[in-house]
Amino acid sequence: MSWFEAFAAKFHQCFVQDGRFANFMLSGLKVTLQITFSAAIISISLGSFLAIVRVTHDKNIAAMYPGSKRIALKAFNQLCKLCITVVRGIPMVVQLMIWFFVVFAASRNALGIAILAFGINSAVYTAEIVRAGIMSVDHGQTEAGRSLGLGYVHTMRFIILPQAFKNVLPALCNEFIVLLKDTAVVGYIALCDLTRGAYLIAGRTYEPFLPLVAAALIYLAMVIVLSKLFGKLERRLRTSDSH
Amino acid sequence: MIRIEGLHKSFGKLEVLKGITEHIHPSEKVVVIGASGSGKSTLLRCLNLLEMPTSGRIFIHGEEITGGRHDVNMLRRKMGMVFQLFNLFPNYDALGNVTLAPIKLLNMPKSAAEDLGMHMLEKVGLTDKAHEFPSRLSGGQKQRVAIARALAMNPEIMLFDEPTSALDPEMVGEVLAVMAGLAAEGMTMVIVSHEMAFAREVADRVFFMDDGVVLEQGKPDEVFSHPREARTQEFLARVRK
Amino acid sequence: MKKTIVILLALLIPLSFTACGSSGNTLTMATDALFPPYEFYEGESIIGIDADIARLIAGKLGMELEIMDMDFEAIVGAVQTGKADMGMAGMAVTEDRLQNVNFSTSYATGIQVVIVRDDGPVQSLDDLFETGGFTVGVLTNTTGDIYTTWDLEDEGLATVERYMKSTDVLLALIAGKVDCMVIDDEPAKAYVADNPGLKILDTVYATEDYAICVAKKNTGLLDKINAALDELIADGSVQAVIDKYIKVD
Repeated sequence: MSWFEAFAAKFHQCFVQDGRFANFMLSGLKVTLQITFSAAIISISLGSFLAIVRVTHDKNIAAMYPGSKRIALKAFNQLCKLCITVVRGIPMVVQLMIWFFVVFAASRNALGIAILAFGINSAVYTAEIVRAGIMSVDHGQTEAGRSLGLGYVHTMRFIILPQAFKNVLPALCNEFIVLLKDTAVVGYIALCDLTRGAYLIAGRTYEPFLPLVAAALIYLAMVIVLSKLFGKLERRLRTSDSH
Repeated sequence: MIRIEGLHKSFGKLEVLKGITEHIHPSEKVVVIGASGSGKSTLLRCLNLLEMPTSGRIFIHGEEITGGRHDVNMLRRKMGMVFQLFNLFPNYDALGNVTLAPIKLLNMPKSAAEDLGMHMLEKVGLTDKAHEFPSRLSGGQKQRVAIARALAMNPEIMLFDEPTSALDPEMVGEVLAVMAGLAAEGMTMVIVSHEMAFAREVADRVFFMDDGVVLEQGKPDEVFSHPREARTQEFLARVRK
Repeated sequence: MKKTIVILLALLIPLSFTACGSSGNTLTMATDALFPPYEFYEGESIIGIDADIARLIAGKLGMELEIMDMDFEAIVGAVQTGKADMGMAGMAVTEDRLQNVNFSTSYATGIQVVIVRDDGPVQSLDDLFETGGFTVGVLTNTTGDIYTTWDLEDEGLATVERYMKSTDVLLALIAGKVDCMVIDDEPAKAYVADNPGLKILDTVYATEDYAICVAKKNTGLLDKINAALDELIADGSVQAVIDKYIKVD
């Protein structure tokens, strides 16, 4: 049997026989994408929220008059800081296991739990990225907005955040690549993602290399597409304005 | 129109304003001069509460704006401000910079706001640059857009914080011309500036600030030609060199 | 400058990828020592049915046994790339696997059983196959996983959830995330003994043959192992090891 025939036989066994590629890897890919995209949405919204609370506190607390608003903002800021510290301090796999076996011990919705766990984990990193982005926008922009009579929320939303997001797009792209690749540990809570799909084929055939290489190539392709999308977005934002 | 009573402002241990009491009348043009660090920018920024006074009170039309009960955003709508470094929004074109506040604050329909915006840009002579982004404008053009932006909210008072200090010399004239036009229309203006010739031409009153107080004030002729205080003479001698 | 280079090179020494594994007189066995009574730690050393039989085989071949403990998923790769000479970890023979590795003579029989909660919805194999619609927890890539995938999942009779650690399947069963678990009967007995409210169904789910896996190209070693194993089975040594760890009640 020639080298090529041997390879073809292995390829057939790993990916064609019993519909393995579709059953394990494609269905796994679907799970990977579902978790990544849903978690990314949680990450960006929750992350921005955390960042805005932190920045609002840091920028305004000194100028605020004493009162219940000031106390609430201080408490809220401490809470956000605590969340960021705790989540950032625990390995992703451990967090995942805690959500699955402790917090939602009675739930059977592993996919939902994974989305929540990855979303929250990614959100604290996004929060710091967005916070850095907001801080990088010149304070004069805030002053110009406020001097026109725009409120804090308006100024944030229409002037500061668009500039902040443009500045942090490369970092955000990085964060989402990490998120995508981090989902490879969902096998720990019995979800069959792309990585587990590859392992399932490997365990059934005792041919570990082809499935792993296939999984690697698919991850690589996804990361390349993601980077390209972000690159495109970055260019589009840059052509409209730059300074 | 603007009444300032015993205004103090400290940044930490540093006391920048050490008790200022002044009254600025409707349609009056006040030019504030003084060495850097004398507190002139801080005084200006206290007027629309970009800086919170440490103590003292400020009244606009007899209504107190200090003390925390006044709606700061409503106050600022009535006071336009122009910054030394323009602070145009880089993510909007010139027209977008001018129309943002009217659209968001006055709920003006986009088309009406754009008509208004074009009118404002016409006032500063920049209708042809309406759709350029700030990065494509010269310093003088940027500052004129910034003035148009402030005017779009139809303010009663305009505050200028060293509007020409960051400009190349050949662009100073175009900005001062726009400001002179505004003055001729009867706008109440408080201008922090080093442009003595402009101050002489436009100002009703000149404040000379030194070490956190208004050391000397009067008609431009008096202050520039016959300064009473030694510090004023010293300062004028230095800037005229 | 020269000194710096020397220090840098010294730091890089661990990075030199010299081949390890089968060298001279050592027989290297790859296993995942979390599977009593086949392989588990007692103090610092790994013992159990697989480990003890491997020692006997090494003795017959006049070789020194070295055990490499690793994740189950890594064993076959280690064997195929020559990092280990053989894999021994309660590995069951299947047609699919035979295409990529060689298996020795079988030295033990494994039994897959079903654990359920006393008050759970599944109380017999008939419930699983007739009623259907349940969630079954298994350990990834065990025969329990492979058989339930064929019998239940592919037939649309049940959802199979594959965990990476057997203790996690157990947790999921207790928490009610799965309705039953299919697993080797030896760990099953220990789990049920430790956790009141669980029981093993009387009917066995499947039986399987455990064998040693060796790389395809390493037929010389396979022959030697088989020769040794045949002698050890014939003289009752293998059975003695099994009896030592599995008490028949």
